[in-house]
Amino acid sequence: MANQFGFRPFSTANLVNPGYTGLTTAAVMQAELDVGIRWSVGDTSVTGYDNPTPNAGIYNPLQPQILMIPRRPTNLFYNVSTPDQWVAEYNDIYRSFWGRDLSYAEILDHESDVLAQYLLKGGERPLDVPPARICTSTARGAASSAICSIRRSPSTPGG
Amino acid sequence: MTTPLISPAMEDLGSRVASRMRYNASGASATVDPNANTITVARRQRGDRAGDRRLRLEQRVLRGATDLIGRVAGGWLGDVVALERRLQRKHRWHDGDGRHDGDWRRHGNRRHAGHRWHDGGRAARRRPAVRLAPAERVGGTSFSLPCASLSVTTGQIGGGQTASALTVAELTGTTDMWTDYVELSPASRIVCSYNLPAGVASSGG
Repeated sequence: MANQFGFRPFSTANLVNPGYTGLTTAAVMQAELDVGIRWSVGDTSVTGYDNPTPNAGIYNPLQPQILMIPRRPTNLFYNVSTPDQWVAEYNDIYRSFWGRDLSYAEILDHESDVLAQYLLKGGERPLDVPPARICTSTARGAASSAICSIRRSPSTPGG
Repeated sequence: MTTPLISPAMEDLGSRVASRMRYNASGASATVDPNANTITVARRQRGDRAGDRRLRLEQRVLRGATDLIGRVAGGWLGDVVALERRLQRKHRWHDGDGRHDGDWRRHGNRRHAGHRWHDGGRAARRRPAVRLAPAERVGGTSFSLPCASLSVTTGQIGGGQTASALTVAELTGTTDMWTDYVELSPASRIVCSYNLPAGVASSGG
């Protein structure tokens, strides 16, 4: 599949567990170890999976040879492909927080501020930006491309 | 301007994180006081196994120093990143195949974690090195930050080692010249005084 879609670089030593599942299941972690997984991700929004200290990860308690790298969630949701879809879901979640609906430009402005803060902190951690949906929509307009320009630098602010 | 954005592959990011964790466990620390123009380097008391293993003291100390200097002079963190990469290339401790990140890489059919000391372990393990002379670019200007004078406030350093060892980063690869670095014994603390280049402002950091 990596070859088919041109994913480069690709290494079978890395795994992003869907929904962070399996990290506490002995059989899963044993299987990961057996197939050569050495780097996984952890959800910083879940207790016990955030960075214990800046830019430090957590070795999996079940398989200490696998390092879990805390990954920051973002509000670029996994199930949206277009700006309209993104705005609708964003406002559905955050309407009560903001007290109103935000426009696409406002959402983009706010979310980019959040990402910029991560950057300026010098954090070395991945960002959780679901890959497939958003960037399949690049042909639909500059707005989508703007999202993708963020998504295509997913790994880490340097630091 | 070079922005500090990098996008390493996940295994490279993992190596960086693992390296940071080893550094955290090593017990090494450095503090830059731009008001006093000093850099204080300390090594934790022996007893912690990870701390005794000694990893990358020289480059991490440098990074801490240049990070602050960069902020003092309004420099850009990206230069620090570039500096660290340069220093990683120059790092004198290597694993068996010359890589400095020895964690979880394949070597034929076997894997191993951690560093393997280039001299078989013993000598290098007792020789954590500190070098404090990076050429750093701040605001488009290159300058070096040599250790003008060195004092030992706690513990001891290697016999015959002086501040002059920290003026130029001579060591590359697996070279190990005793007079080109400074070894801190456990629970030691040294203070390097430096002179900021003309025109570079110092402010509290």
